[in-house]
Amino acid sequence: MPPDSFCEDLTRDYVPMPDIRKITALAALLLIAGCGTDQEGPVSQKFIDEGTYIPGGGKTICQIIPVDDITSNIIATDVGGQGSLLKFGGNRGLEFNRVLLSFDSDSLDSMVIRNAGKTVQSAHLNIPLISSPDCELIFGIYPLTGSFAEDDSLFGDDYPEMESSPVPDETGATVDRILVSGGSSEFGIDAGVIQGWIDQVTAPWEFGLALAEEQQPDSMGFFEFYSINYGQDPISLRIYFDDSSGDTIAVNRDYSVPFYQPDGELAVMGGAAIRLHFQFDLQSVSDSAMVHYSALVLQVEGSDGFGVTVGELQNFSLDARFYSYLYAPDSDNPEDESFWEGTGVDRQDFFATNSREVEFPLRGYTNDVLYGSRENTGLVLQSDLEITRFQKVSFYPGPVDSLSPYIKVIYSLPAEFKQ
Amino acid sequence: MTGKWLHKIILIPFIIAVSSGARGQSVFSLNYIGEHSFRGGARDAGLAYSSLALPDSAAALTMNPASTASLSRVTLGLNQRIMFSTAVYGENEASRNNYQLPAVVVAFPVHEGLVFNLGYRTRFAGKVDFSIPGEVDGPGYGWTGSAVEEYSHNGSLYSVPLGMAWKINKWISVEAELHLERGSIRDKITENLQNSEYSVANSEIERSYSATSYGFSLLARLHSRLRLGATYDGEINYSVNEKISYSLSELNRRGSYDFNLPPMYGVSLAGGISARWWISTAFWLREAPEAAGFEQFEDALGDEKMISVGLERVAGTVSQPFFTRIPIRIGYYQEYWHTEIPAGEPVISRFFTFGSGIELPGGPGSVDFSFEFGRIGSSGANGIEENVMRINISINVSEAWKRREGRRY
Repeated sequence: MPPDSFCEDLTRDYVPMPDIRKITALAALLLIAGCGTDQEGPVSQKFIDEGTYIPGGGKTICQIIPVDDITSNIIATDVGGQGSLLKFGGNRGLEFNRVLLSFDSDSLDSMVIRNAGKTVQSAHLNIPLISSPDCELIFGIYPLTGSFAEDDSLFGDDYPEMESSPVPDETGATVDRILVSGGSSEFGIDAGVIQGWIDQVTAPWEFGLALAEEQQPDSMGFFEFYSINYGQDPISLRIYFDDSSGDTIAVNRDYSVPFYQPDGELAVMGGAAIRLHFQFDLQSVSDSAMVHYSALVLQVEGSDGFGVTVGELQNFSLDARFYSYLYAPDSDNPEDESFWEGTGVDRQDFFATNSREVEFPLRGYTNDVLYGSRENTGLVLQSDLEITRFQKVSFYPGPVDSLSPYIKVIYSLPAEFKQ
Repeated sequence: MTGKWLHKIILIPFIIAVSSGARGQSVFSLNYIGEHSFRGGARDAGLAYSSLALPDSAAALTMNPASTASLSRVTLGLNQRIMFSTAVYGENEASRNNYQLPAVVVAFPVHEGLVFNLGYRTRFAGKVDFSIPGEVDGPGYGWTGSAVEEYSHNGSLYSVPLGMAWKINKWISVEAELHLERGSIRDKITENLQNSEYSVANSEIERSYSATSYGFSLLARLHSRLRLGATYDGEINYSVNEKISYSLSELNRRGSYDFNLPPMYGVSLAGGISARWWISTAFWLREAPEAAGFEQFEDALGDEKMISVGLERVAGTVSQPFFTRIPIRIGYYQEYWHTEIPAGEPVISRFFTFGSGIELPGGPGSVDFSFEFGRIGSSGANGIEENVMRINISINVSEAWKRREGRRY
């Protein structure tokens, strides 16, 4: 081959190529393979450390924002009247020191007519106790002077008045009545009181009775009885006559009136509807924060809360977890109705009897506040079973920073792409 | 083979190449506008990119597009590059393997000695994904997880050359090109706290480049055993649109600026030692560009230059034994990158190369392959180095270009 024809050396007279399909397939495979790549690992950090690769990630910060103010807010509910169990006594700060009972006046009147001329031998108020703590509860039985309804929202001392003197017992004495664990659940009523009705000398209890706690029990726990809402074994008045006959009148309304005094405790309750309002200021968070996560962080005081009572557990197998609901109220003023409603932020459940940290993720709330689409009215934590069950969770109020309620905001600052 | 199949071959890789962009570059390509991808195919890589003065009348994918003036058939060339490397930084090592389709060219002879070229060509590219441990400032009781910063860099500045090569006479061929310059460089950082309840925070910058430029090349036969090749790529005045976006959209911003890439010059000589053995050498230069958009490289950008030498035993005739007739190519090149890491210490690539090629079985065309073994950067000078093996595979296929007759059924 002459050297000066080099340029033509590579131009050959090829025969026609028979199988271009294979070539196409090969090329396609190579191209598809071209879409893969591997992670480079930490070697590239050199360029970041020395600044030749500029988009170093922005700083990531976990900022703790103390809660400025926490208020306990109470909204009465009718759970004490609508529940299936009546509660009497106290448990971990929640007191039921009044149980209201009412008899149907028509039933009383017909009982009087039905038993006219008879002599009352004895009478008992039968309280079907289904659970009791290991303690005594001293109480009195008082005629009510005002009416109540089961759908009333009663709380604290907001309940009907009662007579100053209790109903005497079967001996005619006005002694304290005592509920004890596993003890008798029948409490004698002075036969003369009932005889007065039969003889139509006195009118039957028009508004019913109140079981009124006379002393704080010496231990924690509720005495629980069936409510008429349970459908069987209600509290009843049993009357025995000297002709060996008897009569029974069941209550037709009953109510356990809850009472709670926060006294500095941070507690949320269902049934009694105690809500905590947390107020805080997010101004210290950077204007350019890209929020990964934010949360309201609370420490549960397990010894001060409960999710279920013994009676609820034994009779209804109710869940022992505390169900919570966190919302951003439409107003930060509890005097406004809009305080009691707002935008839901988180809902979760946990055991109120276990001391542990609970985080309520704030999701979009923090961003909304930081970037002006929402006013910071704080956060309200309530029981999610507020109108169906009595539950209580208590939180550590401080003063240790890491245990006090706080807002946690984890965010990254934007990467800087220029020097 | 029919024209229908040739069209498919042209179309499919071209579309994929443009849509997928360049992938798989040196770890150094993370910086600035990326790693320079030299023109040509596996033959050129086998000769250490010293082949600017070597004609190739069977390939559309060459270092010197003026050589396409010798093509008498419609010719498609594409090159696939596979890279295996180990980057070393202190005690850290990262093994990588990547793939790239840097170029696709089609040449259409429109008249004897007059050939129209078009294609796709990667100029600069970078693709590096990595993650490093992140830190979270704050009290220990607020955060106990593990954070990761995930980086993704993906850049490709490419050109769509539209060229016309003209074989003026048997001594000189020239080519002129219009380049449609496009591309983008995207950097994304994700702060990932590795918890499904936690949002990730993204920061992203995307720079889109567009420009038009010109290029010229020359292939001259000075003597029966002496060739001269030269190429010139004009200055590229990129218009850059920059978009910075974050997870927090309130921080997003846009901007635009100009970025000028100075012209580059390449010159090469090739001499025939014997009828089949040719030695070639080349020098290639582009002056230091500006640091617009990459201010961290202010005063840390230098001239990009490459010197290379190659030796080729050209293909023999079909009458010779197989191993005697296949081409043999070896070479060495040394390239100075624009970037200096740190300032004053250029990143240098040093590569030994070898390669060969075979004819396409039964058809007009060839498959060439080459291997490059070398190192980019050095731990001593740059604090980091990457030991690299590249494999280039090029395919050039041809068919006669004739008007198809209309078919009637």
